[in-house]
Amino acid sequence: MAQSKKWKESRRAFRRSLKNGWQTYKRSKIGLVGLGIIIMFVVMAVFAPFITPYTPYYTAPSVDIIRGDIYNITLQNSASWIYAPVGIMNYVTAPGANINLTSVLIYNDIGQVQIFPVGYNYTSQKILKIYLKSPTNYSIPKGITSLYETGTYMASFMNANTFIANSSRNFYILDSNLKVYRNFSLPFTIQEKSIFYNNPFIMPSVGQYSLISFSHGNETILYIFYNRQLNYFGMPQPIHKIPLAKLYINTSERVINSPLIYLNPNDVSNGYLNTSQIIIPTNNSLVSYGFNIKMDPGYEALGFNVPQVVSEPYVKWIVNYTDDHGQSYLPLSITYGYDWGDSPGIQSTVVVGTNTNEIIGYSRADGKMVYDKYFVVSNPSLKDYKLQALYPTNGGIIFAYATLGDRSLVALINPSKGTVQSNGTFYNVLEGALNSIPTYDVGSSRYITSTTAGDVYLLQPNMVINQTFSIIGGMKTPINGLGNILSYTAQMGYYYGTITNSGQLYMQETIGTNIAPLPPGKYPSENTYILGTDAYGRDIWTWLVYGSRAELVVGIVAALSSVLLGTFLGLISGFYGGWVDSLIMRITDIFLSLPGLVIMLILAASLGPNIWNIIFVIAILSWSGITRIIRAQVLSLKTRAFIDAARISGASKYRLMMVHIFPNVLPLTFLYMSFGVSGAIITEASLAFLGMGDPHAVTWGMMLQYLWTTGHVLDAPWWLLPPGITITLLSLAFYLVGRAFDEVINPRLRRR
Amino acid sequence: MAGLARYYIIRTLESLVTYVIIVAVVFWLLYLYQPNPLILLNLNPQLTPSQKEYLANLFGFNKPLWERFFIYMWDMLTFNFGISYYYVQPVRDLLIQRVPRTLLLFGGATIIAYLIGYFVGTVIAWKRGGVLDGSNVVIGLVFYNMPVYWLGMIFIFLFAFQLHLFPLANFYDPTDKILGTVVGNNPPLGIYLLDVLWHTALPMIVLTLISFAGTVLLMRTSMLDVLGENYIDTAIAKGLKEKDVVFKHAARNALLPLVTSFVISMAFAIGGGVLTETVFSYQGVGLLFIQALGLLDYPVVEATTIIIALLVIIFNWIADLIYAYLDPRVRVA
Repeated sequence: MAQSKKWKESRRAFRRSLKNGWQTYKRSKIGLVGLGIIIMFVVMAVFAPFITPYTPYYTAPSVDIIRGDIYNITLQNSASWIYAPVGIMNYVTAPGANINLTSVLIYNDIGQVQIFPVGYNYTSQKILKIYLKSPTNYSIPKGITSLYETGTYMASFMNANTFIANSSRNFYILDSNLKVYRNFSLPFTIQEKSIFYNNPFIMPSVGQYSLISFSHGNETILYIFYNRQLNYFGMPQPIHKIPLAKLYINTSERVINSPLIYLNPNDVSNGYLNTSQIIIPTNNSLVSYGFNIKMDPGYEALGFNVPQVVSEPYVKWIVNYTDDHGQSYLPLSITYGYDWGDSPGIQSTVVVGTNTNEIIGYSRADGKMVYDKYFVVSNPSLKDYKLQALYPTNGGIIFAYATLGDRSLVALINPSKGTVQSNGTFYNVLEGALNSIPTYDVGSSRYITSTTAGDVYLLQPNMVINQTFSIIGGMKTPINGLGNILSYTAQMGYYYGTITNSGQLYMQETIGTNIAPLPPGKYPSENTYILGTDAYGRDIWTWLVYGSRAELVVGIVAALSSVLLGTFLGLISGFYGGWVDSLIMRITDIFLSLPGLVIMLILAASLGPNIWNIIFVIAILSWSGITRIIRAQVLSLKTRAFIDAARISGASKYRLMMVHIFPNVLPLTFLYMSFGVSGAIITEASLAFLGMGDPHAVTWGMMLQYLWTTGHVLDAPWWLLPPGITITLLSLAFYLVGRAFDEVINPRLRRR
Repeated sequence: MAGLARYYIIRTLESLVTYVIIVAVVFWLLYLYQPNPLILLNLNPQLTPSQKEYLANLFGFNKPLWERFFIYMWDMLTFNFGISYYYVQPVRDLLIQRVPRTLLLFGGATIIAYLIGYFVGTVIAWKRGGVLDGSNVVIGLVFYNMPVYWLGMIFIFLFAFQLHLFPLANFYDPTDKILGTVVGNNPPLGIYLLDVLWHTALPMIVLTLISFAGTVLLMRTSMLDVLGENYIDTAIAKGLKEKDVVFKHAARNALLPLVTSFVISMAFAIGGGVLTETVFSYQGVGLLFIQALGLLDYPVVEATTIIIALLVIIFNWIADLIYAYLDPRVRVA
């Protein structure tokens, strides 16, 4: 009973002294300011996830931080052009090395062609400037809507390329000077066109063939020719004399889509390519016509490798437009299924994309095509997209869908799983209709495509958008792969080009440059970075808010540990005296003489970069001053009358120390703790800045360290200023609280 | 006077013992700091075994730990700092080159800070409670709690990068063009010194700003103590000029804590120089230390740490001696 009464009394006394202390503290303006700042940072630390838009390790998407190296080149003499260009391509003067961008060719549909040699200034790292030299003018027949360059097999000779072109009723073969040497008038207006081009780099033993078909109504005409213009002696051959095989197919049904030409070079035997076929989608069924091409080996030595059709087209197989479930469909796109166990060059599987969101595969078995695989694009949000093109890749099949005319879908279908699963990893919806089928750039492993909205998209093979660029004013021509620019030292990346509506050549390099740190503002990904980002694309504001957590923990834990250690040693030293005192005081002297930061750096380097090690290092090197002060206080307390009274009344040494002396030095302990937090925050920031910070911690010191090591001190003030301001504010706040508290416990100071 | 002499002797002995202990502590701290140089040597594929053996002998890696410890202790106490692994020249030569630069920077900054602190502290204590007092205290406290390297970066950004008033970094211009004029490989001493001053100015200003606050507050507190004394009232009552009262009667007597604090802060400024020298790429002892720590250049780390510690001990010792001379109470305690 007596015990509890006493306890209640002491509690009351404690509350009273607390209240009195607060009354005194309240009078200090700086103390209130300091307390306010600390409360602000504590709120920030506690509610960090609610007041930040991102997590600390969220990095800005590449659409924000990657900028392509864009070259806007005004076309010379473009004013003299009456009609807008319809096409742009890389004019290859050294075929075989045709990945080099040496000249840009531009043509329009009134038969004007301009070839601009490309000049560029570069360092070993970067293209500094690309410019076009004066163009050479050519003329081609009017009305050409498609110009297609076929390189040649022999790399070392100049001017050995062939162009295939067509207008609505004519088919042309042009030589490398764009001179027409073959002209075929078609008996109809072209409705469907299809090209097969045997890549000599993949199948060098076969040679280079181009097969091109034109269809209208029931009729299909297939041209087969050999591209080589130089014979094996390196002599230009009289190309106009090269025979060209022509095949006329009259399907009984109307052709409704582009045929698929299918030349199997691996079946070469005795000069026959005997499994070649053309698969024609008619309005009733998919019909495959086979034909045999014979190569006369006798001509090979002279370079006249003449293709001759040795069989009339015959029906190889027919499949009706019904799926496994008996439901009928219409084919929208046909392609090969490379991934279904085939290797490039051996196309034995045919994949049909349909108007019912089904993909149907046919495999070759016993000379016929049989129904093999089937799957449905099951994602309900994608069901309304209408298939436009389906074409094979090494990793699956890519679709281009379009719906409502202003949105397109690019999707990767995994044939073995057969589903389009999640956004961002298997498909992506793009604004605007696609101008052309996405082209694949081997160098950067990305697809590039452009839309009618004037945007260029770079897509990773899994359909994640890697970068987007807007072409101001929109595009007049589809974006076209132009090739690499090579220097003696480094490959300069793969370039794409298009002509803008304002008559400029817009060239785009696919790899791009990291432009972070980003200044504050709103960015293309719809993200707003209030204080900008750092060089890694991380949001400064988020780091600032989350940083307050680590700073408060480091400051308070380090200061508390050092103050407790200092108080404990000071108590013992002052209370016991004698050799204990001497020993502790000598150790204290040594610690006081240590060059703090230097020893902390060595210790932090030895222990390893970890936030708890840093706290330990700060605590272990900052207790010595407190020990001295507490010892002096204990020495003066020891001579006071109430200690003598307690001793006489039989209090043990332990009780004297803990009950009578310790509570009296506690205010001092708290005072130096406040100053200690202030010091610990600055010290942590300094250690972090010098590279001894915890790389996994989010602290203001680390922000400044990243700033320093990435070398953006002089160009990113939005990154430089905030962490320093917060460090100063928080440190100042604890210092001010300390000073105000000092006035509470040292009445002598108040008068000033 | 016997008491003073006894105190001096004890204090000197204590300082020596402290120095020896710190030298020993540094050895064990660096021993903790892996990796071991012998392992690094063995990892180098370009060295032949005989070369490795020669180098291990040269640096004494193959001796037992305790033997290395005693050799190290003897070397450090005789100021024989060995050869730098990285610079491949005697560490002593490096220190002879670097220590004066650091002393110039920090000595200059500390002197300026104390001069400012003395005058400003005196004036604001005399006119205490006014706007000048309040704003000075607040500005002083803000600078006092500012990370020095951050202020340095801002100053580099503003005054060196934007306004081109000062060079961006370095201790002197390493090219043969100094202050806009082309000089040869051996510039005239005057121009060289001007160039050095021009390079030292910005870090010196930053250090002064960071450290003057503490001095101002110290001087203010000390002055306030003195101003409460009766003889100041007497002086005012005698009708002396205000300037005379402040500077001749009050400030002179309030100077004692400032003097001792000056000596100690000289010592600590040098230890803290790592930050300032890093941010300004000022090739002093601090930068030498932090670079050596990254390069695992142990002899340089040891030597710089010990030199900095030695300076701290010496300045502390001087401060204590002065204090004991001026304040007889210290000797008794």
